[in-house]
Amino acid sequence: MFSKKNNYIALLCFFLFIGNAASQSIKKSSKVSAENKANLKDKESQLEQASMKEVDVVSRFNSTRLSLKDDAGVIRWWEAKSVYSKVIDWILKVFNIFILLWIYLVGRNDRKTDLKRNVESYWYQDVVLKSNHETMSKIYDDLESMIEKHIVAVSVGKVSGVTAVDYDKLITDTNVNFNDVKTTARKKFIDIVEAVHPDLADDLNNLFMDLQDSFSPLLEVTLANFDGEDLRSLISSFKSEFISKLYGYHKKI
Amino acid sequence: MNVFDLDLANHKSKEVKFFSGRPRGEKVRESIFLGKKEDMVEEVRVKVPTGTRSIHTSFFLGLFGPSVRKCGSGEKFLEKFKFDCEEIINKDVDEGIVLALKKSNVLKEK
Repeated sequence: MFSKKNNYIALLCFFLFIGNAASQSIKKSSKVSAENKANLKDKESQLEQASMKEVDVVSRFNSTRLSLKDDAGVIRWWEAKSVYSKVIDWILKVFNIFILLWIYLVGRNDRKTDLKRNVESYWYQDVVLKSNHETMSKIYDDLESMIEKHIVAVSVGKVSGVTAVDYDKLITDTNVNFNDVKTTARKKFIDIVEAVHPDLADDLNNLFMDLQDSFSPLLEVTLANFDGEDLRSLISSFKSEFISKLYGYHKKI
Repeated sequence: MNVFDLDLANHKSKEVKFFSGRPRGEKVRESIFLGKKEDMVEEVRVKVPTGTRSIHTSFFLGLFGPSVRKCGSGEKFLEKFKFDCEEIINKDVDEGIVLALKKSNVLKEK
């Protein structure tokens, strides 16, 4: 919620506020200093006339020293000449302008990035995912129904007996069906994704190729050794990875 | 006419009825020096053993992917590479060509 950049900006604003407050206080104290000038001048003239005691008064008009003593001899070191407070005031004003410019420029770049991210997110969420939700569901359904059909056919074959030729044809047909589902998934979903997100389309195509490489060996077993559960768990883990790729990509946007 | 004959039966075990795996396809390509041979001949005849159920896309990309990219289009590739195979294999070849032509890291060229 609070990015590092926003924290730095908040910190800078805080220091600006402190700096401005300090500048105002210095201005105020320089006014006091001006009043004191007048008082001290009177005192000087009084002392000259009275010649009562020596006061270590630093000349306020020509001296560069910042210290000054009152009647009790306490040095009020924090009272600076008015020219110093003006210099500090101008430095702070210039600094304020730079900070404002910097905040504006950084904010402008952030706004551009946010806009780009919003457009990408919209395309991915609303155009790609939402409008192709049915297509994706159909892909899963087709894969699952295909393997269930194969499993049932093998089970029937085990019971009623099936020739080697028929079993071979069954495996070929299932392979062909799988390849058709893979091609349909590419044409109807992945190629659309590719138009906007080529990296994601690559990942999905690779996922299907890996599935194909794992799928065929599971079919190429003897009737006796066939295990339908292997096929089911393969499709199940493929579904999880497919969804995980889609979700994971959205997080990157 | 210069022709190069490629019999895929020499590159698989007898019991296996499909060709899969990109690394395997790349290995076959290197072993027959297909990259150099295809530049020296006008036609490459690819014989797919009878009974082959499928040429997986991964294998196709490993073996023929760079050739497809070199030809630049599916039509030019099929003019040069003639596949002697069953109808179901033609579908696998078409799918392989489409993926090979994608400008992405689906095809990793060596």
